[in-house]
Amino acid sequence: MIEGGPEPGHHLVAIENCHGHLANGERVNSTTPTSRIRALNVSPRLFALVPVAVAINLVVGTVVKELSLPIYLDTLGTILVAVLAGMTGGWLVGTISQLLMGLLTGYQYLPFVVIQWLIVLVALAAARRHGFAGLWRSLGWGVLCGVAGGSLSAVISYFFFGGVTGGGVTVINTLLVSAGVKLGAAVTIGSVGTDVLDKAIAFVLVGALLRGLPRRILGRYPRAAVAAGK
Amino acid sequence: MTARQPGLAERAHPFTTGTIALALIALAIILPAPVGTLALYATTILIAAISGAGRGVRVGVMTVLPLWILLFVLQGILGDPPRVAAPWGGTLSAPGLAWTVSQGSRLATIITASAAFAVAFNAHRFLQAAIARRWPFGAAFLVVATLDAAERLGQQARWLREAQRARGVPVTGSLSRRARAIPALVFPLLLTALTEADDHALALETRGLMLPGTRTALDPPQDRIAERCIRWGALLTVVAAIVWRIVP
Amino acid sequence: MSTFTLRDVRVRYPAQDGWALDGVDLDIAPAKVTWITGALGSGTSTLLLALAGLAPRLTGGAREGIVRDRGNDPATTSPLTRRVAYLGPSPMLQLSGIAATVRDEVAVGPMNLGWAADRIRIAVAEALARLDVAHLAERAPGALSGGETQRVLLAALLAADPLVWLLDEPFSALDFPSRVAAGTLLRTVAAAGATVVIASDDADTMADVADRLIALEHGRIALSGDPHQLLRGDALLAVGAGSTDAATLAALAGIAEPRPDTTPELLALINGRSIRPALTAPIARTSPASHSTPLLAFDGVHFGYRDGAPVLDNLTLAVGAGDAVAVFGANGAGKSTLLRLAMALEHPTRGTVRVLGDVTSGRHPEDFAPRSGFLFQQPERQLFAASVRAECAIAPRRAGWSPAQIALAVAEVLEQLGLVDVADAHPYDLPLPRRRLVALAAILAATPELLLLDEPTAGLDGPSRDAVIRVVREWVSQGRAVVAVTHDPFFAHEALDRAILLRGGRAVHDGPVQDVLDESRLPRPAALAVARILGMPAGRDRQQEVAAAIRGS
Repeated sequence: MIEGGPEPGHHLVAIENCHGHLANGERVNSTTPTSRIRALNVSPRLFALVPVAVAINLVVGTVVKELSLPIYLDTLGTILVAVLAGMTGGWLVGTISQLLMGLLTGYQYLPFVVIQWLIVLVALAAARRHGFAGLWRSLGWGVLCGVAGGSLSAVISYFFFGGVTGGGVTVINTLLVSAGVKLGAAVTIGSVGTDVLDKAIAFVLVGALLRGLPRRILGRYPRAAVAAGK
Repeated sequence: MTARQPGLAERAHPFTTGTIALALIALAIILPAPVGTLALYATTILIAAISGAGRGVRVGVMTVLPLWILLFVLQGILGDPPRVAAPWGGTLSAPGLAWTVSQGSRLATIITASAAFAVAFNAHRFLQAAIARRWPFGAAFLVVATLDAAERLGQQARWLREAQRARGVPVTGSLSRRARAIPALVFPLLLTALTEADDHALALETRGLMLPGTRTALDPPQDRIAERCIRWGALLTVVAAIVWRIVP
Repeated sequence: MSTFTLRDVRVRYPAQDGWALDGVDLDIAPAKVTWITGALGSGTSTLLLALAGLAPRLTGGAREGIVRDRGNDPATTSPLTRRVAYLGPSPMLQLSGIAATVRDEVAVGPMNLGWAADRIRIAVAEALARLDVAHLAERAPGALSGGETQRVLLAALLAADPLVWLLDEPFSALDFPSRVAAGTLLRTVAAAGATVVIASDDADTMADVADRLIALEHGRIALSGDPHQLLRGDALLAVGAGSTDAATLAALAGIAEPRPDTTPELLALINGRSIRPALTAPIARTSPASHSTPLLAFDGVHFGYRDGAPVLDNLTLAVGAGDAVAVFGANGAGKSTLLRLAMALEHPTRGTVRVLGDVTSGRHPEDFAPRSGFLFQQPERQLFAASVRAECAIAPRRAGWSPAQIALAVAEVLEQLGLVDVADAHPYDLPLPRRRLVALAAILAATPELLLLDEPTAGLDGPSRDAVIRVVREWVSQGRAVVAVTHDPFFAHEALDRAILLRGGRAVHDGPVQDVLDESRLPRPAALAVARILGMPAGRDRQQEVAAAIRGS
């Protein structure tokens, strides 16, 4: 933030990344009501970004389903916003996504909201450590995220649903159990296996996107450059 | 064209339908299985049918049917001993069967209540109710704007599929061919979302959506005394159920 | 007293080199329409954002210098509470996203200001009526066409009763009658005392609306003065800003300044000079699809969407090599459906569609790509490569071309569309019109024999439109075929030869494009009007030839 200018009355209003701080605005115009200024501190960009990111979670999930691939990719929006806009944005996207998926497919999946939060944390950690700088790095972080998320979802699925959560995972679980594997182990293997594949692909995709972002977006979200190792 | 008469659920205050759905979901977790949850599932179907959200029941059944089948296979057939004789010969797991019935009715209730609520949900009425009740506008905005964005992006995804096919990107065929179509279908969606969020942020600011202060509810849905009573009743039922389950 | 006062204003965006505005001194008066123009990237949009107080507050970056809106710095308060109306360049993105109907969309501003419900109802009804969108009141805003959206947004701004209007390309998606109506409305609000500032590339509309013209060049004010005086001179063309159709033709014809800037004036001048064109013999025109198998053939085609009325009703037509066909028709006449059938995105319910000799039934679009190319509306939203060059290489690579062939084809198409200087840029870093050209380049790189274009010039600036015209002519001259759905008479006249007019799913006219333009209520391109007076034949009546004829006499 640069304050003041070389001459009296010659000022400069500068903005740091996507949050509209008004450091000089107040000084420039002291008659402005303070409530207005406080209101402007809310970032409209985040407000514009969160709905589309949630929509990305829902819509990409559907697109991938139409391709009949054994993955979901329904957390791309969460990962992306966590990397670009940080904790608050990621948390909002994850939570609203889960609430909305509940509206569409039933609220029994609400406990899985903790998975969304976990993904936000892993994505943030990856972003700080240049985790999207290359194919193998993103893959590594994706596998890590899949193992963590899969284990947690196995716990939820086992205790809340007796291993039945619908979709491909349950079919895998059933096959494993019929092959003589204990239910608890089957649920864990099934969940972790599908989640590792899903999150690995999701992190690789987000990494590829971040490394090839246009400059105007990179300028808006300085964290993206760090995440992509630039 | 003959306009369909809106049912009770659609005419009710959005907070009422929301409260009832939440209460049913809470009760599905609280009430003892299988008798309590089975009765609750029946009640849920009844409420949905009476209030004109019968489509929710159908959606619920369609969603829950595969779950029941999987539950039956995973728990009933492959479950732990002791086993009981099945009517068609062979044996079934007794605790697995019990789990299937109790957990199955729980899930069915939750899914049906959610689906019926979704059928009756009207974003416009919800927003107006939220404004009239002075709910935090940001929260209401995020819900309504997200539903709008999901519809918009859904359309764009369908269009994108056509556009990329017209550019020669195959979306059918072998696993690797389908997998390689992902970037062409997903990247433009993400890139336009990111670039357009900037322009949309300008609109949010210039149209006054970021302003503090009170907003005008244009046509707030009516909130009758009877509906308030129903909401309090639903809440009290949930509290009573909790007390009943905790107190020995 | 002026509404806006700017002193040595500089604005820069994050991660961009240089200043988008680079030392602007400007006073803008109330009760006038001020028109801001300039070449692409000259800073017109940024100037509006700075006036609205949105740059750099929301866009990021930094600002230097002094900006005052009626004495206060606009960067400190919300535009709406200052009674400033701002309209951005992409209509769809200006929608609030919270309105279920157009009526609610128009009410968003007053609702957020907390007006009494009755006052809002009256203001909304009046705004809907004045923009002639009352019939759309119960429609969903997201399902409107671009032009409808633009009118609804103008109504939404009007409903909040603004004192200042800042509009970025407000006419880009409007058809001719709506453009005239919107221009009249803005003149009316200015006459009532409002300050109206419009950034626009549409000189023909703005010439009748503006009181003052300001032309920017590289973020600085290059010209400021009376619009008609500037439109008649050389200076405006020198800074790369577009002039009116008539003035552009007059300049090409070598008529000295001050030259006519409207078609009637130009016609009067030419009548006075009694010019005889050098060429009067009609040129031999290849009759469509007469000697080769057609590249596109509809044979008794019927089509209707699943739950609607029939869209195409026994349509038969053939498009041959070297054909350049305009598809005209009102909304819902079946224009877009025709293109979709031609790309195998839909299949006829009766009759057959043949593309490049193959029947489309049971086939998919990817079976015909890239020999057949389809440019959708808003094609910039389908791009996904990290550079313009890489985007253009996608289709040829899918077609299995060798790297050397690909490099050659990409270089050629970038040259044709004037994209060489941005070949390594990210497509999403380019301004919208050039991003659209990238989408077109990506399709042309694989040299499709049949090119299907849906509104290819909508929202393009003058130079980008000229690039599309050049490339269509090039395509046709090489014996390939182009079919374009368009509302743009200038583009149709300059780029296409034959017109098919659809009405009720049937082709009610199929003949030279000039005949349809003569009969339509659209403004006639200046070149066509002059050519008619000079008796120049179809095919010799385009801007360059007409200018040459005037020059040579």
